[in-house]
Amino acid sequence: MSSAPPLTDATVPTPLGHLRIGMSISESPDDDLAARGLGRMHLDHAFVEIARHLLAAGASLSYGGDHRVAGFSQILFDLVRTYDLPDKPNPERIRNYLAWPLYLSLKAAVRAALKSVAKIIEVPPPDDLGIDPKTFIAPDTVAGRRVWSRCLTAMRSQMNEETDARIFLGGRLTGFKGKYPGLVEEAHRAITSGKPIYLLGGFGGCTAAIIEALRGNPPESLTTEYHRQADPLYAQMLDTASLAPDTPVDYPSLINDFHCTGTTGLHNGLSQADNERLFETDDIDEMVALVLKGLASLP
Amino acid sequence: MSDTSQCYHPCLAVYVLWHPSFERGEELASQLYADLCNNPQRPAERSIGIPVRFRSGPGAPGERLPREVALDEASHSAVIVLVDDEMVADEDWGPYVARVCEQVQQSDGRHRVYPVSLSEYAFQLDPTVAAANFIRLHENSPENQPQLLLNRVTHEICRLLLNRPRAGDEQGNLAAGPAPITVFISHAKAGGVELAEEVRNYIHGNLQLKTFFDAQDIPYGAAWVEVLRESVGRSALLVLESDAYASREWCRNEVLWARHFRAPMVVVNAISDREPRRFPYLGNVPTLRWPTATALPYETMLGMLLYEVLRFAYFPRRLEELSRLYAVPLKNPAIPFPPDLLAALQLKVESAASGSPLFVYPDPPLSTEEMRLVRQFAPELCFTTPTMLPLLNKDSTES
Repeated sequence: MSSAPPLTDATVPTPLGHLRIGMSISESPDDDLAARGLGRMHLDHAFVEIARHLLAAGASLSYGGDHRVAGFSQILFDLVRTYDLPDKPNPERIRNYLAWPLYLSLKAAVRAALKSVAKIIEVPPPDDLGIDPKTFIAPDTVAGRRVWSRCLTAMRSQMNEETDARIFLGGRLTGFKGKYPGLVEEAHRAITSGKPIYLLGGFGGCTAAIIEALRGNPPESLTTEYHRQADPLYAQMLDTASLAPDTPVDYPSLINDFHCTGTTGLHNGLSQADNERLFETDDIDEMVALVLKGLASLP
Repeated sequence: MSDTSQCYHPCLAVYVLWHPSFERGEELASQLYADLCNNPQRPAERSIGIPVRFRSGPGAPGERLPREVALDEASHSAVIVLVDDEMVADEDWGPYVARVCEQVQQSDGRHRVYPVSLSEYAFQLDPTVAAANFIRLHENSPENQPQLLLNRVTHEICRLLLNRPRAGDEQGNLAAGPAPITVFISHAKAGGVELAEEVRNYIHGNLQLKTFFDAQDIPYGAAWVEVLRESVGRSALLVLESDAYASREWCRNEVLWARHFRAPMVVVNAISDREPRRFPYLGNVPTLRWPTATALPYETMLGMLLYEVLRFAYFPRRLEELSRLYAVPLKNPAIPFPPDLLAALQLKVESAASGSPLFVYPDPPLSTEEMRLVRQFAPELCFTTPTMLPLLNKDSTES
């Protein structure tokens, strides 16, 4: 690892030192990004810049199985070292929550890379599933998809409990292995549990869909029928498997909750105008400034 | 309290346009992004951070063209158009690019468009896109095109930034016509002339840069310094460090004066054998080993220099916008490089004059052991990077 410098100026304020921020940043569909004039590089850049500024302000970060944590472990290592806090050891600053069975296949090389960077939190499968936690189950059968849905929900639930606010950027609307597209499930959980959320809509994807739902214009990509058609195995799971004790898949209820919250119900420390700007801008400096402004204004 | 959204207006945005069927378009665009904006794969490098946006894929499902270029979203927009056969052959793209050119023409010089020929037919794209304005790359091999493209684009963006008054600076130094960037080729006569002449000849044959080449161009003494002083902000020092360089008083003076005026600098390390004592003030700048193994050695050398000119031109402007965005007034000029003791020596004086101890330099922050030296030397000064701006309130910008 390179020798990144700890910042030793004790007078630098850390206004966000009491906050743990959940980061839901992932790729929008390629054609959505391309339509906006963006690519993977922009997303990677946003990932790093948001992390940089939050860590510099003293915040701790949580990711939910984001492959970038391993992919950018070197950068994250440098950042936590640069902006280290005397009372919080480096690996405490960043957490990477992994759902079962994803952590079973986590390579030793990745664990080694993350050793001084992040704490890996392996969320075990819910007891009532009665499965052997050491035996991988693939998501290519209805039973497998049901298990994955329950486990991803368990991970998201635990992560939500343990974060104070959440940032959303991008996100795929198809190809998910859980109950809902990941960012949709995470946003819904955050909103219904009263956590402030920041929706960075400039990169499109799930985040843009959530924004439309808040505005009362839910897109087709947030309907049961859309996902049934996109993924026949998912459709089979909806028809034949129960997710109890989790709530069943219910897009209309989700949409209703988003709409009831509306763009004015985010309670994230930002004015309506600032939130609208955050929904639209693709400028990373502006996004970062708005998020920091909101977080610093939280009660 | 005004909304953040009303305060923010980026000073520069770059757009790269390419036809979706142009196989190398994405690669060339990504390379420009990595060089001009940020390369997360090379975190140790101090990137410039200019926002770069792409215009290639359809702007909406069912559309054939990308979304329009929003020139006025930034104070200056530089539009790079990669014109290949696919773009020329596609009936819709000519008018699309022509629209951009028309808007640029109406922008009173604030925005520019740089078509790049990647095909011999590129000049047929559209009558509005004049052949004279092209960056001509189609006769170069594909392996060389990325470096040449970056160098030409870097140079053009420097000219765009340096020939316009700064925001709010209406009485600014706007030359009657575009003033070229000046390269001072600093070299020792003993062992350095041949390389210096080769560099000068390359520049004259290939780039629109002015060169100053030793005492034959201008007299010794105060006049040289006056030329440097007058071209501050648009001049750069290229040090050709041969074996005898450090032993020459005038070479040493050139370096110290360039440092004094905070001119961008690159050192070409052309030591063939040894030097008894390396000049201590050649540090804190990019260096290039000479001869270099790259395919285009002079382009590599001049590309590095132009990149520094761009860094020095862009960082202060970006900092101005960030200071507005975060409502942190900054009384001192931006420092486009991490501070060293020589810089701190000058900044002590500037800080005493301005009354503010705060200086901002580009991310990433300087390493601890270096900063310790600077703090020891100038404990009254405070150095920080743009990342920390949101954490500074107005009070802490005074002492």
